[in-house]
Amino acid sequence: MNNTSTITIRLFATLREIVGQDQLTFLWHDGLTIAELKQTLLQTYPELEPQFKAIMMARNCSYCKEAQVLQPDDEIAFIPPVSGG
Amino acid sequence: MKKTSHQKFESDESGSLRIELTESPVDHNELMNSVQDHSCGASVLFLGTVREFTNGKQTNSLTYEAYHEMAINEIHKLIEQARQQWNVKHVGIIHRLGPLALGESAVAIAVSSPHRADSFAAAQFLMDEIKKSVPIWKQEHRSDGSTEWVHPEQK
Repeated sequence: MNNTSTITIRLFATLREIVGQDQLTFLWHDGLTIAELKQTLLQTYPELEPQFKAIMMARNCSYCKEAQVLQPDDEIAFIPPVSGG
Repeated sequence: MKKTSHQKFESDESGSLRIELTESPVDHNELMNSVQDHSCGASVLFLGTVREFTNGKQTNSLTYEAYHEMAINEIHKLIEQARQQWNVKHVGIIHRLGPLALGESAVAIAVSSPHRADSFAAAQFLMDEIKKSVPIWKQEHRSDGSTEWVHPEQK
């Protein structure tokens, strides 16, 4: 039985370029928060730190706070300052 | 290369909304025609176009990128907010993605209403709010060879 749960991280613009991928998959565990995801990402990609100062976050296409607790199969996006229009 | 496009359309007796994110050139005449209605005495079209100079720096072209699913949701929320504040009938919004040349339309907003004040106000509200909350990003390619993702404070 496969009991491994994951969440997906979507990356855009500057963040996508720094990481070199537009999507990452992370193992989920009970109580996982976005704040914890940020810390994990920073350990792998320290050059994200200046970007993370002005970052917004979304869970399943809705803006949320970094204290947000995640569920298996959630899609998380890190959203740099937007500049549409 | 195939041009991608993401769309949402809703219509009921109170009016309609149309949201489109597309790599194809914006046909603003078609958009404007789509909001026309005999019950409306006013329709407003706003076009945001690629400008050559920003703070003295020369732009050669722009590239837009979006988080499609969320961008459409966020624009939808803004249209609902506009409907609560003003008596508007039809709203159509197209945002271009991918590479754009100088002068091309990056965004088109068409609004119709029985009376003009509602269309003017709603179109301005929608454009202002799109720039604040909708996950779309603009990359500038400048004449000096530099490339940069634009931050809102640099606009």
